[in-house]
Amino acid sequence: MSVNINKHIADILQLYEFSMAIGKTLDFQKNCDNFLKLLLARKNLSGCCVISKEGDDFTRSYAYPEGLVDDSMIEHSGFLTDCFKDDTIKTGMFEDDKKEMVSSCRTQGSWLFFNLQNDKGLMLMNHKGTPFNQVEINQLTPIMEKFSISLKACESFMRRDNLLKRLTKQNKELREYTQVISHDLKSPLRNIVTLIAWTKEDGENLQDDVMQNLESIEDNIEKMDNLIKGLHAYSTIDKFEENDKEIEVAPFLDGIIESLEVPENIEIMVDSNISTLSIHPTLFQNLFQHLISNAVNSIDEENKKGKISINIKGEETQLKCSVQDNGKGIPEKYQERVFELFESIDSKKECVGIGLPIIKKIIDYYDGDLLLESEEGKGTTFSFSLKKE
Amino acid sequence: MLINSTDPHNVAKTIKEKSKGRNVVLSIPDNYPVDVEMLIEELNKLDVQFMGGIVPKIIYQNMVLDEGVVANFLDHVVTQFVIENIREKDFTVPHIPFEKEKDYCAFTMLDGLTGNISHYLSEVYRVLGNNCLYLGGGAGSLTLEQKPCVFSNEGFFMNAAITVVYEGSGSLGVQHGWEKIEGPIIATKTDKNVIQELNWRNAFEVYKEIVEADSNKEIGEENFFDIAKSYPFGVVKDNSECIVRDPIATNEKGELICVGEVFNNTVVDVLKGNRCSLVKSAEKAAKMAIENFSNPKSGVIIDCISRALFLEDEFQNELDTVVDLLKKENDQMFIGGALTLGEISSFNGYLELFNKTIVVGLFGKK
Repeated sequence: MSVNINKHIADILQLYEFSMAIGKTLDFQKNCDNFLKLLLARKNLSGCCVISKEGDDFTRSYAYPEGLVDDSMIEHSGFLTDCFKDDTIKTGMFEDDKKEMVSSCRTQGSWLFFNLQNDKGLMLMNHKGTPFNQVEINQLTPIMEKFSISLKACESFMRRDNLLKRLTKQNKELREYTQVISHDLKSPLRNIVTLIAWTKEDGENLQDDVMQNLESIEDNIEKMDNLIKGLHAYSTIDKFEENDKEIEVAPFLDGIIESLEVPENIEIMVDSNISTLSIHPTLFQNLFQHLISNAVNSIDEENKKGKISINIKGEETQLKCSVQDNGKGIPEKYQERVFELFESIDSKKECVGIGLPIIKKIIDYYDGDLLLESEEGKGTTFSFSLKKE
Repeated sequence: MLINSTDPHNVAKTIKEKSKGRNVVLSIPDNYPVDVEMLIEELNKLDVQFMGGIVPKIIYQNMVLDEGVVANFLDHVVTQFVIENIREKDFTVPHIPFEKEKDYCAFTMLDGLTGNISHYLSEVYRVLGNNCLYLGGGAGSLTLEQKPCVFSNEGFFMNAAITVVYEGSGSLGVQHGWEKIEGPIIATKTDKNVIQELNWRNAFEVYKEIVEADSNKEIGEENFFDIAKSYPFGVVKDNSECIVRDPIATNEKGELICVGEVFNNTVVDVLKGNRCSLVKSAEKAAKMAIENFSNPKSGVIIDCISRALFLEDEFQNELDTVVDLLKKENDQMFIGGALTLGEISSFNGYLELFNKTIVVGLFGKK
């Protein structure tokens, strides 16, 4: 038997051409377009269709030309049920009983069906009527396997892409929602505060217990206000649209400490091996504000020698920090719970159980680690790392 | 029919008289001094539905002409649409409600010197499918200077395509007769109609090696067209003649500019023609069309201008051969057509643009 080398080379190069047309994009329709239109042109075929099987029903995922297969006509097709059976390649002529699956287009000629992965099948049609031969089918089989995998990748990408879009939309809605909620909740609180102030002004002769109740209401309002602020801060931590900025560490921390009204009996020491840092200023401020504030609150006011040590160490890929206090410490049974929302072990109005969750969320945002070491009566150390970008 | 007047008013009046309410497809030679803008105005005044193209030459019966207007009348037109800016890929082909029992034909005239012609044809096929028998050609000037070249009731256009869909039966024969001298080789880098690399090397270098070895002539930028017209590329297909792609120029980067797109990684051969094989292929195309259709009423010949340039005096022989065969089927048959810049046909199932090819269409009732 003579071997036609030129024909073999041409066949191999055709497979190369088909192969290069597959997977050039993760868009399902474009991927089908790139490969299947080439296949039709090179093999002189008149149409093709990718069919998806869902239970006993079939839908058209791609068709070229468009009118080749009508969804409504293939929904419960017995012909397609047979095609999808036992994952084998099927071929035949349209003259028989296969006209049910095609709509407006002419239906003479031959067909070839490949079972693909993910309950999909590819139907190729040749309206000129020449049957597909076995060599041709054998040649196309590995190409179809590759095409099948590329379709699977397209579907996965499409799902991921849709998920991302949905997530982005939900985040946007959540951000808007928290903004609206915090604004709408704060507004009546401000009204209540004003009304209490007027009541106190107008009623100089109010009984002591009424006065006490009004002050208690004011305290609760302040607590509610802190809670709303905290919730707003917590929900917007990873949704900032600003970029990192260069800050000067020492003056920045001084500014935070000054804003906190630290009692005189508490001494705060800062030790840093870096003078500047590129970070999101609002997040850095939130992080240290809550840590220092937490440390201050943990130190009993009668404790004459309150000490808070802040340590910042800049390394090549990360920032290592710790905030240590000699306060009352956190009982072991609460140590895991303190990072959950609204879990507070202190009844002070400032302590609404949102500071430590904010700290954890900021550290998570920077892909860092957080370690809590605490001993009742001796104090607490929060050690954490923040990854540099 | 052939109209020999250059007066737009007379041409329009003659068409109106003969059309009897039918649509008309007009072919006008590039050098024929008829004012197309005026002709459009006159035809619109007379309420004639028309489309047409300015082509290098026209065919009427067995004559190739530089003068006159060839008019083909169409019955039962379903729709006619103009797509502008086909180069931009941003267009929509209208959907047509086909009736399953009827046969349809689609005739397209498009700017043969614009880009993305293959994309336009693939979009037409995507929407109209294999419900139609497709035929058509690329309009434009042989000087290769791009200017408005297709027209309809809506105006005179460049970078555009006009397609008319009508009820009718027919058959096609498509052949070129160019033969392989080298290949297969891979067009490893291309951009639309420009081949940048062949087998991962500079395209012109590879082409030059092949052509110079065969022709014993040195090929450069200046004499490129004169030599390259005899050495086109052939896009390899299964079980049929390849699709010819005509390289018409090269540039300082050594890229080859073709008529019609060549996609990345296309497997091509380099072809060579001889007069005998080309004329025989035309005969074969005519026979193919005849075999599949009995009792034709009219014939359309879309032949490539570069075949005529290559065949020179022998081209008349090609045309005579085809027309003689067609006339044997019906000696009263009207035969019109054009020498075009690219030929359009769905002969192999899929709708494609051909170069250096003859397309013979026969039409009538089944």
